[in-house]
Amino acid sequence: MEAKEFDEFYSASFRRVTGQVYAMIGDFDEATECVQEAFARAWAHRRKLDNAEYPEAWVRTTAYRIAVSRWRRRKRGERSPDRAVSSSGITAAVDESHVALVAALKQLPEAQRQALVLHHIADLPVQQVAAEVGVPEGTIKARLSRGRAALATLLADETGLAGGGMTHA
Amino acid sequence: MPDQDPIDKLSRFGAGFSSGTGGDMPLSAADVRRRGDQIRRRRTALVAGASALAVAAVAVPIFAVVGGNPKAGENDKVADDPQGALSTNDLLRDDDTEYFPNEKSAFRTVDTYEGDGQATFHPCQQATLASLGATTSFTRTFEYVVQLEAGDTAPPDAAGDGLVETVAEFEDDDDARAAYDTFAGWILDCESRLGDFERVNVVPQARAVALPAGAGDAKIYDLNWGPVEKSVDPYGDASYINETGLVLRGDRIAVVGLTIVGQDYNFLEEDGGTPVNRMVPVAADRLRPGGDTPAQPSETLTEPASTVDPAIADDFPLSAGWPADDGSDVTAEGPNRTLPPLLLNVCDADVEDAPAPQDRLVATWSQPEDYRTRQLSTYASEDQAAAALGAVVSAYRDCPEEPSSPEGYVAHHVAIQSAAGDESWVVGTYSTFDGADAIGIEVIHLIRIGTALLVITGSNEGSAPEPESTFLAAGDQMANEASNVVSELCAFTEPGC
Repeated sequence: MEAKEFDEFYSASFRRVTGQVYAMIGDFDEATECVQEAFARAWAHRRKLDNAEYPEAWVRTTAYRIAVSRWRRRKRGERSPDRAVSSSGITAAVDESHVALVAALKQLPEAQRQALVLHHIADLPVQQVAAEVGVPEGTIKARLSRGRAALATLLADETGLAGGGMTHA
Repeated sequence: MPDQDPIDKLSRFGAGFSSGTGGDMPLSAADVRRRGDQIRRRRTALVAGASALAVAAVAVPIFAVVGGNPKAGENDKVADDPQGALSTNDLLRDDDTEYFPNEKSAFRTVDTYEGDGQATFHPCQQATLASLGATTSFTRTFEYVVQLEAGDTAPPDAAGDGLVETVAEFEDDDDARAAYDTFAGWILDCESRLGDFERVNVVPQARAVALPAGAGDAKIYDLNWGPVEKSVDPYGDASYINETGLVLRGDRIAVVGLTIVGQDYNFLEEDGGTPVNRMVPVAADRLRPGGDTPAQPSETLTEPASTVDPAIADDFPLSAGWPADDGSDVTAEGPNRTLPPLLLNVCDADVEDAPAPQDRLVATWSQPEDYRTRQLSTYASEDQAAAALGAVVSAYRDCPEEPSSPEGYVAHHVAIQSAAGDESWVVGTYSTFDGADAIGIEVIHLIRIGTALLVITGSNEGSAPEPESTFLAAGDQMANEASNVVSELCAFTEPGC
């Protein structure tokens, strides 16, 4: 992948992937930083990216893993040496209408949330979600079904939603 | 309620970000590429000099190599490989080493020597292995093979990074276990040995490593310290990042330490995890007795894919056997997927919930002074389920005593192997106050069957004057109470029910 091609890929995909990661982890600034870092790693490993069938999926998965890793480090109370892409200028330019949805998503188990985001926000077919998550299609269908039902209930009772950080356990 | 249609809301959310209304890009594409180039250069910055790890030892200011074992001969000449005895064949070879996934031969041998050598091989090491009872030991140091691409310039030499492995043999299994535990203690106590650095961080929780049955125990510790020398990083952002794998196999141990200079150290679980994660199973295989025979190729260590469906039925009887809710003071919830997973905290650190489960159900039952939880998790393979169990057991075993509370109570942990399922452990916690038993015990019974791990917890206002027998009895009672649950776990074995 050449610089021009990468720049176009970055411009076309950055906001979309950030939105998806934001929906998965519930923190817009963190999602922005993790996606930036994932794109930087994509450029560092661009030969690998050339062989990837879905480069955007590679970036999304990497960003999500970075987010989980950073979250775990924070949970351990570890001083993170990973400060390379932190930026003090990030503004949470989040549409107000998204806040309730993200808050509801945060109440769901991680597996259901991931399935909903990949299928309904990233618009991936079930087969591709299963491949990206690494579980059978039937499991994804079950997670989607349970996740939609739980989300509908949560959205119907938005006043009961609580804030907070990521809900990984 | 069309406004609450979750599919519509999710779709609109996705469309909103696709249309470019989801926030600015804080870094330009060119900035991101520059950052990527930094990462790539850092990838080549694992340069180690001919004695990188020996230099690391010198860089740590307060080394004190003490002791000596009269049973252990120590010289710089590598011994022959007598049949069955520990030898250099039990060390990792260049072909076994990896940094990036599938990057075989990432390191090459710099030196191999017998005995404790002239310097410690690990920055946290407080004494020679001979002083711990090692009758024989071998150490091999490696340097990273720098692969410069067109246009790259060689990065500055970063003294103190590299890969090193030591294997040691002891009189018996107990001595080896004691040395394995002692080395773990040295790592956890490493902050005191790296005190001259501005920042030192030792992650108190070891990561479990899944090994094939019979291949021994293994765990990995993470630590980092910095800053590194200004000649390597003039901005002070980089640290030494170390992960150390400890392997115990019968009367032998292996210590695999990898130190890099960098700012982050992230590897994907689906790619096999960190470099030491990927090398420790090979090290455990090499360590098996009979080192003269060729080791199994590493491919045989590849975890077989399980054909067991990890999905747990929604009506799985996870709460079977608990007393019925008679409407009085009982509170019962679940089983469901919305209750929070068990969060176990030992010695001020959360036990890592890893590997990630494929599916999970949780149920709780409580009365005043009687709290019970059951958590059923399924994993992608039996080895992953075993690793998840091992992570909990290791966490408690590595922390036999918690720091004293401000009121003066001290919590003590005991881990005992039990007889349920394919593999099971009872972990108990009791408290003392001023040396005397205090009220309140907690018991966790972990039962693995196939790819499933059932965790049963209970706590009450009892005490444990004889901890092992008390906790084993409590664990048995919990397993009996959950017998209908345990019998259903055959669904997560290859043969099925």
